[in-house]
Amino acid sequence: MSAMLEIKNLSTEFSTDNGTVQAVRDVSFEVQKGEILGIVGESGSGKSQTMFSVMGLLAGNGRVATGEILLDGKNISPLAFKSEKEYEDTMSDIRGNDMAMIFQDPMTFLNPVLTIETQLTEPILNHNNVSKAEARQRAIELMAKVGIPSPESRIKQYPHQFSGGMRQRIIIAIALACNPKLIIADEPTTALDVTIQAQVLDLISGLRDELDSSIIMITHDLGVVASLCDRIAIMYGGKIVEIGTADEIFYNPQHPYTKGLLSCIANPEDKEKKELHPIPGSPPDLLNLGDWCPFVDRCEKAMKVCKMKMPSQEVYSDTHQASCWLSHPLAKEGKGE
Amino acid sequence: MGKYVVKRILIGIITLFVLSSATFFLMKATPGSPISGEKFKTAEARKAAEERYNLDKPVVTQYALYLEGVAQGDLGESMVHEGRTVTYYIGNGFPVTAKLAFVAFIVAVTVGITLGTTAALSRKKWVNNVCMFIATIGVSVPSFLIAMLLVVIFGVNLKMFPFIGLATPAHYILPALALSLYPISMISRLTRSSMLEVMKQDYIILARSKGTPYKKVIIKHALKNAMLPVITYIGPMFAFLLTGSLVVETIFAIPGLGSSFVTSVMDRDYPLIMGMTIFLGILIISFNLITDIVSAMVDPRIKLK
Repeated sequence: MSAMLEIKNLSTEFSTDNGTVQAVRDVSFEVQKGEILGIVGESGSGKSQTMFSVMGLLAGNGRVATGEILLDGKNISPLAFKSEKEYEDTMSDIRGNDMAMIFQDPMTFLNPVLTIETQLTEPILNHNNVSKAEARQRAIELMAKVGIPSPESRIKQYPHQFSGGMRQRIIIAIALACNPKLIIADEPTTALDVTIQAQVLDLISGLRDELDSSIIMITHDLGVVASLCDRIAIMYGGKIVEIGTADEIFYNPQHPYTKGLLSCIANPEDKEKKELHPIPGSPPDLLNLGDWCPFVDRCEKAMKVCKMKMPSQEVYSDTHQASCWLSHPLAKEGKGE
Repeated sequence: MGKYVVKRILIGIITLFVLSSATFFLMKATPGSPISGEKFKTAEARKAAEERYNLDKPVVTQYALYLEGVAQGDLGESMVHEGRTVTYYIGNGFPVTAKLAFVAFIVAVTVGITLGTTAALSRKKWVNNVCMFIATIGVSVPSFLIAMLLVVIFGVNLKMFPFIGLATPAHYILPALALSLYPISMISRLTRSSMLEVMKQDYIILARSKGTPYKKVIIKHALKNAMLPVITYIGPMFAFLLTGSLVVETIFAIPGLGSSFVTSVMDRDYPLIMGMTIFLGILIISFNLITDIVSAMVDPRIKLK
């Protein structure tokens, strides 16, 4: 297996009236071909902004500050281009074609004044030399594939004539239009009710088997990634605090934040896990991040060193790494404070 | 849709009735009379005129008689200029005003939308500042000043454009500019703020994620959405332009509706005031209806009920 997407030391900043927000800080990871990677974190942890940086869809005040983004070996970081125009031209070819994104809110991501046909044939017409009629045929096939009944008649309708779940399927169909090699799903089930959630997740996992695409699932719901993902990265305060295979994260979590997230999953059958254990406190202010562990203020096991220095990455296995001072050899010997 | 239009037309007729009643009784309550001028010096002449125009009857009866005429399609005859019907004034003035209004409307819409979009999307600050400077001038400088400045600069001094009457297409340039500057400002401001709002929407991100180039995203996805508030402004604005402007028509010597409307009020020419009011009322009511229909065509979420 070789890497479909490799991110090296990516940092993304937003300039606001109150100062610079460091949304993504020195993030590195890779996704293999045909692999599903889950990125888990709460709101504001930088998980969505990491992927928006990859897609080049950051808001106007955001910019990639450092790092490389290698898509199938090619560096597509905006820093690797001479001009913004050159970057946009390259990305116009890549977006929707080599990589595509599934967005989280079906209510706001579809254009209310354009028909489903216009919106669904657009990526097909952008990247393939086909006629409108051929694109329409392909769009109808896509709609059938994502489970929309009677696509021939529904393709003429507008988004407001679709339910939330159906709109989410349209958004998925748009992402799949050109059989992308990398699919980024940004909380694709958050806005849906539970029964639809399961259907949409099935649909997404079916894509990997069918297209052999790599998938990145961004979510704040560990339950969602558990069944679906090969590997999981946990993000907090703009950094990846722990990354490992699904088994490693669920059965051998190392970072206190990962442990905290896991104890937030309720399991009515398990007596020990019957009660929820929320993590106290709130996420760090991304405007005032120090060069120390971002989780320190909420961590039960915080030591002095945690507020002094950024923990280095400790390696547990080829696939499992975490950044926590507790894992440091000195802490294990009980010499840490 | 058909049902909706019929309903709106019925409501429009009621509105027109209220409008004409209010105008009629207010007009009668206003001091002055069309028969107080030089022509009606003697008591006999005045009495004869009063009888002729039913001015000796109670006001309510006068109104009933007037409505009877209107129902038969007779808007009456001018009391000041004998022998000239109200229909004659409208028939002569309206085509002139309408042609000019149409030119001004096209200019206002194209320039306004272009300026607003440019201001909203340009990354260069000075472009935005220049566009908004033009817009501020347009709303704050009164039209008589604009019209006179245009005449003095482009007509008298530079001799670039003719400025009396509407004989050739070139004659339309200065009056159309004078008429359209205010709507240009309003449209460009509306377009700018609406465009800025639309560009922040999630569906713009989705459109870009499909690999659609930025310019196409603006034309295909943003413009149609951004036009909704603009449409609700330009419909009534067109109706307003069609009613003619006294200032512009006077300065450029254009025989349009605007000047006859104002003169009719000065002269207390009752039938002409009423005829003009009803005609302009019909224009404004129709354009409001057209605006609603166009909005529903642009935005499929709007249901005409």
